Amino acid sequence: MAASPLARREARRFHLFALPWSIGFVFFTGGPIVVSLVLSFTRYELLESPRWVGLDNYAQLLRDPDFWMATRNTVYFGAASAAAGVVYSLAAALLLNIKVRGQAIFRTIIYMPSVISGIATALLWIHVLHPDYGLVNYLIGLVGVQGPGWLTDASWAIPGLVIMTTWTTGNAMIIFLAGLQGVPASLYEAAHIDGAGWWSRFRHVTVPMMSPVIFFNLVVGFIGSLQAYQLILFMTDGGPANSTLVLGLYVYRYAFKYFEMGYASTIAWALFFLVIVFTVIQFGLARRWVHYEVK
Amino acid sequence: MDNPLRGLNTAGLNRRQLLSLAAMAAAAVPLTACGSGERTRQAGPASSASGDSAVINPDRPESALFPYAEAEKLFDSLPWPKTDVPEPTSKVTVTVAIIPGQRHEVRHAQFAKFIKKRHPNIEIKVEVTPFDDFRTKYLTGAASGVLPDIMYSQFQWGQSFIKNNLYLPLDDYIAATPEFNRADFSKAALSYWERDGKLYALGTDSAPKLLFYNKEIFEKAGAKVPDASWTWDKLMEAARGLVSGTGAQKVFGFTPVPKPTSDLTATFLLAHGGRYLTADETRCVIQEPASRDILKRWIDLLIKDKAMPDLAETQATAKVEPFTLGRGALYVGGAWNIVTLLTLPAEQQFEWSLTHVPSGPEGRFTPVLGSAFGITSRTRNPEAAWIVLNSLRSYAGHRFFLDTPPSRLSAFEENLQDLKLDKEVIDTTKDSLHKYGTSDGVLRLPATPKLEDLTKPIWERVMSGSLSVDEGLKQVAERVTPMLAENV
Repeated sequence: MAASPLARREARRFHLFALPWSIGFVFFTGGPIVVSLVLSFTRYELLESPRWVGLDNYAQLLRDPDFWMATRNTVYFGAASAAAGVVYSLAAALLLNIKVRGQAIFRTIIYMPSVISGIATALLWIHVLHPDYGLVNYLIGLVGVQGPGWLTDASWAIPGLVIMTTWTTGNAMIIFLAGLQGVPASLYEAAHIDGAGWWSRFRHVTVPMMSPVIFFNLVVGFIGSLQAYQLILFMTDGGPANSTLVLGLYVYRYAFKYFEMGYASTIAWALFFLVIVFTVIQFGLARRWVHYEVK
Repeated sequence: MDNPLRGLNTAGLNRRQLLSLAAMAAAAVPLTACGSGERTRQAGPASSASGDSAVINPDRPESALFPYAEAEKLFDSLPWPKTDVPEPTSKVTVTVAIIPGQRHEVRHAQFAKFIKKRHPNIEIKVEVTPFDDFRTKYLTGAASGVLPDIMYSQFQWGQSFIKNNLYLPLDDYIAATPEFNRADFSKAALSYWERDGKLYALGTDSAPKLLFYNKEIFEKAGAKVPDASWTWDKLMEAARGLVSGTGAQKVFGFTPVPKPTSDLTATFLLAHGGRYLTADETRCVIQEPASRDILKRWIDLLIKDKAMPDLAETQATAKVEPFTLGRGALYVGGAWNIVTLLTLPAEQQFEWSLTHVPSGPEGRFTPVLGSAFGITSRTRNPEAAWIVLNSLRSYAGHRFFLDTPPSRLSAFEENLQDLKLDKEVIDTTKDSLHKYGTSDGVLRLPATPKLEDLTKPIWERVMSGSLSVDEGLKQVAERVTPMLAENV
């Protein structure tokens, strides 16, 4: 059936309004994605023309011990920081959801780390985590425990980075806060009448009702953490002993330090593959614990 | 030396002072670039950001350090060079890409303004890019066919720029400039920008490394300060005895820790008959006895004697040399650090001096490092670019820019005298450059950044004591040698 003049006009307008985004997508997102895929099959040292090498870069990747170390570190850092971020931001959102005087100030304070520049954050945390005179080890020392060498001990460097990134999860906290405010008060009232305490209400009302939001933050946080590199570059540059070398940083090194764009593209596609795998796994697991009110 | 700007002793910094100083210094990092290897980002031959933070007015560029009227007077008094290369007949713009540093930015702005008196058709546009981003920005630009007319280069980048045809050879322009005296540059200064008998860039500075020492720490310990008779053995022994304090108050006996970076050979190995790579950079020889034995001793000094900053301490002060904080008794650093030390804020000043680097069984060596400017292959005005470059890097240019120490030997003494340094300091710097300064063994080929990244985690395991020196050096050699093929 032929479309009506009105439908055709609306379609034209739709395409016209979508055009800026479409052009942007083609030139700044879709195009580079395709180009990087092509480059991943080439040897391209920026100042010379790319040379087709077939699957050589992928074969090299499989033999590259630093790539495997970076993959392990990426998964470790991604999982740990996504999980810690969700726990911290949910806890912060629960506190900030309580109606108390001056709550707006507390919300601003908790959110503030998210708007501080990355380099300032990194500079601050290098000192906060310093093993000898950092604030974290000082606080641990107050209870008689000798703190580890955060960022300087290969075993503790990623936990140190996780602590730092957790501090900046204000955006997730805002989403949790919005989610909490959408939980019907009637459910809490019913639970209260049934004699449920704080923990029971949290476990049997808040968590199920918030599970789609938790899932969203977990997926988004995990993807973001898998791609992280900027703060790590500044704070540890992959050290000590490559213990914080993550795939994002490895891509950066090959692309903008060694100018081997072909191999950098190959690593980037490996990272993309990793993101897809873990996202699919999370969606698979979500069926078991995410509760949607309307199906 | 007795520093005229001497202030408080920073060896007693409290935590708050140290943190704020470290943060300030780290923020200043992009402004002070160059040098070598690990420490390249903190301060460099061609830059010094400290002490002068003016906003540059393009119509009347000046700062407290470089007042406009004085700058103009100095410019007019200098013997600017001539060339047979013809002047442009119409207006042309020559873009000069530099790294930041208020001192240099002000001077470049003044130079751009004053040069028009001599070359009315030449307009200079200065592009400032942070050191850490410089190479990425301009290599990416080169890939898309865009480059400035004149471009800065650090010693490690020169051969890569030349190999990739980013610089024009200067020989024809030099031939058209009869008064150009090539011998006015030291061999080491030129070596980073020569390839196949052609010269591609002219140096800004050419700095040897020297042994700096904190007089206050020596005085407090009742120890004799170093002099030209010192050997590396003597230095190690002294470093052990000068360690004191803990945490933020710790004073190190010596910095920096030797690492497999670009000037390891010239600074630490040659004096003991060792090398990191063979002279042609085709094979790693760091695991051989001469290098291994001396590196073992350094690691002992680090791990057993705790006389040098460990990994945690290195990271906490990654962007700031502990010596600059008053927390190092002995420090081998570039002559460019003289300016850094002289321009420390008053409350951070301390008494320091310098002498020759120690000698070893095979003699005395110091790396000579520096930066340069070359004309890019994409320039549309090569002749105007040569007129500008020839002026920038002439005796007059070196005097005007106060390069420390300058690549032009004719400007050497005067530039150092301008800093009001003791004669002994000037003589030591001069002797270091002329008598035993070398570029031999300084890594400069394209694979250097990758090589440094590959060896860093191995060496960090050695520094932390989790890997023996023998095993560490074996792993370094195994990983480095195959990569050297990328230099071809």
